[in-house]
Amino acid sequence: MAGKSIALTDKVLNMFAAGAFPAVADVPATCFVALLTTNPTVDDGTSAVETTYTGYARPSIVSTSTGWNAPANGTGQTRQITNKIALNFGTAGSGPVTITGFAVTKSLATAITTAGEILYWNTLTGGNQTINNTNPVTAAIAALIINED
Amino acid sequence: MAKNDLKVGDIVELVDAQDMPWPEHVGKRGVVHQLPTSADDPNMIVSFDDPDFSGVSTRVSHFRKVE
Repeated sequence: MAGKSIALTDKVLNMFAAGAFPAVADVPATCFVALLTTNPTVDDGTSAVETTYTGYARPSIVSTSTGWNAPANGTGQTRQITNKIALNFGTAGSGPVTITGFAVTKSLATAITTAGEILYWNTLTGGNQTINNTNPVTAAIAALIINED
Repeated sequence: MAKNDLKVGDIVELVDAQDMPWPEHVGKRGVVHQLPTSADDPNMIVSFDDPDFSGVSTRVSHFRKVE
């Protein structure tokens, strides 16, 4: 299910058992955003596939109020934060590819299936998006939505 | 523009570079907030004093340093 990774979920749940809450160090000062062509089947990144179109690179996003908007009401009872800066994934030099989701990751290039690499992931609002050769690939401000309930 | 020509706090301007995805914002000036995180990272983060376009994470080549 889209949302927190298992690694981050366990850190939250451990506030009961271990008296600890996710620390600043659990979310790097800079995170990155990956585009997925296959979404994970398990929230540890299992089966996730990241796009590899020519020109693609994960854009960075700082883990401060420069990078993220303040939490706000989401759908239903959820709360959400969204990106405060526009993101450029790189103009496609190949394609087509179909993007199914995104993931907030800890690093620029660690494999998306590596345990703990994904912090959050989500599907795309409006459904899958096809990227054709020469298409610019960006995420507008507030396009990335991270939900908590 | 070479990455090592820049430092955090520098004033930069979005230029009409190859693959610049926001042509409507060419000429906008901002402040370098974060340089590329490694030699393999092509992007840097620049903040703008604009509530509708408050920042970007994009290629270093999309900026020129304002002297």
